[in-house]
Amino acid sequence: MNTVVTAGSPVRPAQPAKPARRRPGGGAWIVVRTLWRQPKARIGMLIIAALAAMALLAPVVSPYSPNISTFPPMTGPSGAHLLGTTGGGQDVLSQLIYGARDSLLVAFGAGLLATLLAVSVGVLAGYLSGPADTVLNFVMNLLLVIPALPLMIVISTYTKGGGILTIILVIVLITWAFGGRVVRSRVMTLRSLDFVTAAQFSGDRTGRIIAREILPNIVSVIAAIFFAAATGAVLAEAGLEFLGLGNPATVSWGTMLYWAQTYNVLAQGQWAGIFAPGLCIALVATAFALLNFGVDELSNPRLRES
Amino acid sequence: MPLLDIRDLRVSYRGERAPVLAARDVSFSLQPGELVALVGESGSGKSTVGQAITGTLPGSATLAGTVGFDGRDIAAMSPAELRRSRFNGIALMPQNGLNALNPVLTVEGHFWDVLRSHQRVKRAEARGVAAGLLERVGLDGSVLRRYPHELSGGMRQRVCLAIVLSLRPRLIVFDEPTTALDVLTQQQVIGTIAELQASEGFAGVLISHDLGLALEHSSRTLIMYAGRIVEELPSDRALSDARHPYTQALIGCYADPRADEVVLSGIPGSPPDLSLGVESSCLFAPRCAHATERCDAERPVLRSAGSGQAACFLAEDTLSGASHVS
Amino acid sequence: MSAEQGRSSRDDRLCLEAVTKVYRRRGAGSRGAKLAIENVSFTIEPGASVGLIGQSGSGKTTLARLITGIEKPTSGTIRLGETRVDELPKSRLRSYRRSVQFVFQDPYAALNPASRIGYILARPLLNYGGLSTQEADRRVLELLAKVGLTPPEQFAAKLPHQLSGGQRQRVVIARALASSPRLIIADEPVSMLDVSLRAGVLRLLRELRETDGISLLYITHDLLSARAVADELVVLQEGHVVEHGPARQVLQRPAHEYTRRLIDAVPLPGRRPASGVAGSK
Repeated sequence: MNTVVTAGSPVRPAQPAKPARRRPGGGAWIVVRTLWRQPKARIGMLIIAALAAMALLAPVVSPYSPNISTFPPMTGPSGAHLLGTTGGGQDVLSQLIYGARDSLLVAFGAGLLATLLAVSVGVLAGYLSGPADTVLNFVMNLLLVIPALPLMIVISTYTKGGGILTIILVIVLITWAFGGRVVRSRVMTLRSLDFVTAAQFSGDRTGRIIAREILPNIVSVIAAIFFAAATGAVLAEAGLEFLGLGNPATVSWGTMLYWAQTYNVLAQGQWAGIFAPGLCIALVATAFALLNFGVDELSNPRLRES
Repeated sequence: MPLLDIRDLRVSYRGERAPVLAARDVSFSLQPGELVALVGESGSGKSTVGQAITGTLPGSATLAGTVGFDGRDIAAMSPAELRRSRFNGIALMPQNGLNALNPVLTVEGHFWDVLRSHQRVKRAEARGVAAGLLERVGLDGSVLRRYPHELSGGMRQRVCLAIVLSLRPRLIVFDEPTTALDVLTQQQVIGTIAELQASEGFAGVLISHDLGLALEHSSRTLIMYAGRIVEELPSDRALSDARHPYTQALIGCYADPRADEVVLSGIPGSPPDLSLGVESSCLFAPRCAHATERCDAERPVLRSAGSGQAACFLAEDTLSGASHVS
Repeated sequence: MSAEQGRSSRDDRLCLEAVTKVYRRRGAGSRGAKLAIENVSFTIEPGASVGLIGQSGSGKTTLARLITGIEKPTSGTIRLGETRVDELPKSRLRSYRRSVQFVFQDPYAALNPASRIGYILARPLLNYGGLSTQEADRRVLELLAKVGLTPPEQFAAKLPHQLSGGQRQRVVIARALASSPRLIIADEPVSMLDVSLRAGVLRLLRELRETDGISLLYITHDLLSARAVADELVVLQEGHVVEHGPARQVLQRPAHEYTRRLIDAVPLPGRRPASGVAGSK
C-alpha cells in the first residue's frame, strides 16, 4: 500500500466563517432546553412553573387577602372557603397561594446562594490547591461535621423573628459545604486533564481557564447542587418555621403548619389546614428531585451541537 | 465438537440517531485448547465479540445469533445461569488491571472474593490456592498483601491472569491484555499467557490491535473490519498468504526499524459509520486500492481463499484455483 | 517563515547539561527520595528531531516537564538559546511557553469537550500573537488546512467529539504550531491511534520540520515510530541515558544491552515464527 495521501491542498484562503460564538446566556438556554427534553425533568419544570405562576399572580388568583382573620375559625371546606379556615380565622386557600411566594423565594434564594458559594469555594480549592485548598477544605469539613439541623435550630433561636432573609442566610451557611466538597473533587480531577494544561500552554490566564475550561465541564454538577440545595432549603425553612423559629407573623407554608399544630386542627377535623401546606412543600421538593433526573444529560457534550 | 461455536452473531447498540451495528454476521468456532486471535482496529467489533462471548455486553446492546459454548447457547441464557457459567466455563481477562481490580482490596482479598462466590472454601485454603496461582504466573507470594496501586502494570496483569485461572476456566477471552503495558513488559506477560496455555490447556480468544502479537501467539488469526470478519488465516502462514486487501494493508503498516530505509505506511480514509444499517457493498472499498465496481454494489462473503478464508471478490479462489490479488 | 530563518541559529538550540531531578517526599528524608533522572545531557540543534526512548519509569515524562518549565531540576542546566529554562521565574514562564509547545498523548483528553475547535486554536494566536479576532480567525483556518483538516471552516465549527482520534491529534498539533514555537515536544502522540492512522500523523510531524524548521523532541517507547520521525535517538533507562546516537546506527548496531532488548521487543509481524500453539486441529 502506498504512503498516506494527505488531504488535498486548498490554495485560496476561504472567507473566514465566524467561529460559533457563544450567545451570552446561551449556557442557561442550553440548560433549560436540555432539561425540557427529559420527561421527568419536564414534569418538574412544569410543577415549578405552575407554582411560580400562582405565587406571582397571587393577588389575582387568591379569593381573599391572606391576612384577613375575621372569618369564622376552624371551618371545613365550603363554598366560600374551598379549603376551609384556620384556627385564627384566615382563609386557608388564600394563605396557601400567598405562602407560595415565601417558600419559592427561599427555595430559589437559598438554593442560588448556596450554589454560588459552593461553586466559588469548590473551584478555588480544587484549582489552586496548596495552602488555599488546605484552609478551604478544612472549613468545609468542619461545617460538614457539625449536624445541620441542630446548628440551624441554635442559630435560629438567636435570629428568631428575623424574617425571610435571615432564614435564607442560616440555611445557606449550613448547606453550602456539601456542594463545595463535590465541586472541589470534580475540579481537582478536571485540572489533571491534559486540556487544562494545554490551555496554560496556550497562554490563557487562570481566570479564563476557570471560566472556559473548568466551569463548562461542571455544569451538571452545579445544576445538581442547585436542585439539592433548593430542595433542602424548602424543607429546612418549613422545618424551622414549624418549630416556631421563624417569624410566625409571616404567611408561608411552614408557618401555616406551625399554626395548624398550635391550634391542633387535626383533632378538630380541619384536615386541610395541615395537608394543604404539607402537600405543597412535598410538591416543590418532588419537582426539584424530578429536575435532578435531567442533570445527567447536561454533561453530554453532544447537546451543544446546534 | 467445538468448545465455542459462534454463528451469525449480530450485536447492535442503541445509538443517538440510529442503532450502531457493532458486530455483523460473525461466525467462527474454537476447539478445546486452541488459541485464536481476533485482530482489528477501532470500530472493528472485536471487543464487542469478546463481550458477547463473556456475557458482558452493556444493557443497551441487542444480540442476535448464537454463541454456543459446550453445546449450549449462552446468548440465550438468563443472567443467573450466565453467572454460574462464568469463571467455571468462560472467563474474561481485562485490558487494564488498574481499572479491573478493586483499589481497596488487597490481592488476597480479590482471590477470596472470587473463590468463595463460586465454591465453599475457607480463608486459609483460599490463601493457599492464591499463592500457588501467583507462583504459576511468575509472582512472589508476598504480592498477596499488596494493593493494586502498589504493583506495576505488568504485575497487575499477572494478578488478573491468576485470578482468572483460579476457577479453571475452559475458555479465556483476553481483551487487549498487553495494550496498556510497555514493550518489554508486553513480551513478558504475553509469554506467560502462552506458557500457561500450553500447560493448562485452556482455549483462548486473544483480542488485540497488535497484529505481530496476534500472529506470534495464536494458531489462527481472524481479521475484523467494520464489524465483520474479513479474513481468517493460520497464524504461521498469515504473512505470506494474506489475500484480503485490508489484511495486506495492515501488514504493510508495520516495518522493521532496523532497515536501511524505513517507510511508514498507513491506510487512507477512516472506518465507516456503523450506524448506517446493514450494507450492500464492501465496507472497505472506499479505502481499497483494488476496488472495482462490483465492490460497491455487492457485499462479499467469507469464502475459501488460499490457506484460509477471505471476504473479498478479488481474493476468492476461482474455479481455476488462482486468485486475483497477489 | 522568514522570521525564523533570519534569527541566529544559536537561539533555537535546546541544551541539557547534567540534569538531575530528585523527588523528595516531605519529611521522609533520604528514605523518601526518588531519583527520577540523573545526569542527563543532550542537545537538540535547531530544526533537528530527537527521539527520546523510554518505558514507564524511565524518567521521560519528568524530562518533558523540566523542559517545558513545569518543574525545576534539582541540579544541572537547561538552556533554550540563551534562556536558562531551569531558572525561569514563574512570571516569565508564560512567554517561554510560546517557544516550547507540547503535543499530548491522549487525543481524547487533550481537547476540552465543551470548546469548539476554532476557539481552541484561536487561544494561542490571541495570547501570543497579538492578533485581532478577525486575523486570528483567518489564521485558524490556515492552521487547519496546514494539518490536513479540510474544509477548514467546517472543522473550526466542530466540537471535539465530532472528530476521530486521528483528526483530534491533528488539531492538537495545529494548536502546538499556533504560537510559532521553536521546539515542539511530542509525548507519545500516536500511541493511542490505530496503526493505520499513525503514518499520516507522523508524516505531518516530519513535514513541519522541513517547512517550518521547528525542532522536535519525540518521546516514545515505540522504536518504529521513533525511527520514522527522528534523526537521533536518546535511550533512557531508569533515569539514565544509556545510548545516544544517529537513529539508524542505534537501531542497527546498538551499543547497550537495554537498547538491544528494546529492539528485540518491537512488535513486528513475522519477526518471530508463530508458535502454532497447542490444540489447533
